[in-house]
Amino acid sequence: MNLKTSVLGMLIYAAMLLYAAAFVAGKFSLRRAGRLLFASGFVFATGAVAWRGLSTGHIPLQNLFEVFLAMGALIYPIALACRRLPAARERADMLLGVILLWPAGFVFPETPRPLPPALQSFLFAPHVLVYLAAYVLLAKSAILAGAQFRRRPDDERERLDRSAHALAAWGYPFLTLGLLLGAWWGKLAWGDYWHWDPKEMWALATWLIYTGYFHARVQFARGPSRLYAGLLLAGFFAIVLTLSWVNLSRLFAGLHSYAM
Amino acid sequence: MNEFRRMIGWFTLALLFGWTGLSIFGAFLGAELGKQLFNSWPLAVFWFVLALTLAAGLAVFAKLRRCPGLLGMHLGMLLVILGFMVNSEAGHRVAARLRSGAAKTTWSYLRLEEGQVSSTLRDETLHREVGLLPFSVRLDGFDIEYYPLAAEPPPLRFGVLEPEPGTPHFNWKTRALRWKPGREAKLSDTPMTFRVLEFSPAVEDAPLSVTVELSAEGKTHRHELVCPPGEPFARVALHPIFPELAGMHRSASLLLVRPMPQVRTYRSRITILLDGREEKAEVLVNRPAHVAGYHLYQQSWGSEPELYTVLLVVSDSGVWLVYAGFVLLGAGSIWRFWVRPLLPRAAAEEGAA
Repeated sequence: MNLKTSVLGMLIYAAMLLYAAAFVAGKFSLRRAGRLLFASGFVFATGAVAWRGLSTGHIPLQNLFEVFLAMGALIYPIALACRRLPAARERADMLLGVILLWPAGFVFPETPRPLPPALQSFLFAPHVLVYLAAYVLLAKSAILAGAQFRRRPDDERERLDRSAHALAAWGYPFLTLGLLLGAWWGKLAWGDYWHWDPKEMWALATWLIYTGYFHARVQFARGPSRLYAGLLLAGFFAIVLTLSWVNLSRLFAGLHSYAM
Repeated sequence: MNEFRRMIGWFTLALLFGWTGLSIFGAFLGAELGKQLFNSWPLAVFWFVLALTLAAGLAVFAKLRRCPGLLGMHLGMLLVILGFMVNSEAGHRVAARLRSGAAKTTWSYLRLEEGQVSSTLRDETLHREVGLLPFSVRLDGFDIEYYPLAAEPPPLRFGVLEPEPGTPHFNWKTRALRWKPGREAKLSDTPMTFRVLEFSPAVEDAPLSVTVELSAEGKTHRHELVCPPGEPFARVALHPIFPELAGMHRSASLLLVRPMPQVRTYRSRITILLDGREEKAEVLVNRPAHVAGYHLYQQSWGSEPELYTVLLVVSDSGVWLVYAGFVLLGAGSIWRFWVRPLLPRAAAEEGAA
């Protein structure tokens, strides 16, 4: 447990508390209050990102602490954009906000590190940001996919399936752009667009799972299916592994080791 | 025809999930072995079959040709795979055989000391010569910039000396210690504890010092560790202080390590000498130079016996095919998933088709 007593830590904990309060308010049907608390949590999370950026002097997307912090702020605008989906599951977004900020608040140290030469590129921010947007959207999609495994009426499953598909369809181009921008950056920094680095291989495997999902939907062309939901969950599982295990395990040491 | 289409569909799914499995397997192998695997002959067959399946899909599914998004994504993927095949080492060997000439060196290194002019390409060990450039490069200057040292509490480590396999030498095996001023902390996995009483923060060209109180089995010992400028670390041997502690390695020590400033950037200022002309360029990480079909990248540097720079030299004529594939793949997915849903007429047409 890595408790933080700094201003940054306080901003993160305040955002987490407000997200959690928003989730609880929703439980008691206090929808407007919940939304207000969620928006206030976003203000604190954005404040934490800005504070971090000002104190380090670079865009705070260098390591896992900063990545989870940024995702904790990103959840609100994405949730806002998804409100019109047939199964928006707004409360799940509030809980997702707490889960995303948890590693920044309690797991990873906030010790700032200067940017190594390879990260000093105009592609640094776009490459990481599109991935984070994809991860948040596909996490939301996985939540809706997971909900389909519970016993539900057909129309409810239909709504969940349509919303999960829409979220995956929004996230997939971000995932594709992340892969392509990374390849372009790799070419400029290390001489080749592909290095067979473990993180690259996992990112490719993730992209291929989602590609397989869209192919399966076109090929079988039928309504909600556990196969589709299972593929979305498998894709999200690959994201979790790419983001956590691949970065932290010595088994996968490579060019992306600075992300720790 | 329908049976053929269904077969292509199933085959595509099988290839996609086979490729996923291979990617995960490749990740466990590591970059070097992974590269060998994906460039091997059995995998060359896989790439060829994948390219053929994509081409067959484009030929038999009219929808893939009519919808710009789907066309872009599939054509893009096909170009990326073809570009990869052309650009691979085997691809370069085949191209050289077709031209009946020597294969161009695709991936090599240039080692240059300040003032030196060279066109000799070397392998990654920098010892073996692998070819010659059609131009020469002179190193006019090489600079390394460092970040200033942050005035932070000095790092303490617990270490023991361990023999280096196959040599008569010993190396320090160390572990970082977490500490806060005045607070007692465990000294790695020993039965000892330590407490930092005073310290001077790490500043360049100044001695680094820490006063610690070491405790074990009711006995305490106070020690001041001083690391003079230029020295990498200072240490206090623990065994002589607490000889009665069982299982304590004889070389077990508390080390005060001088933090190294981190590199901000490094750059080579070079002059390209080609056909009697001289052209100046600056090569940095993320900012390669491009000369006569070769890309020059700032790779690394060394200081033995003199300061030298290492430039990576890459020739990849097939890369534009890959880039064209990237553009089509990215644009196709954006069109298909973001733009098309906003166009009701296009969606209706697709539904009718």
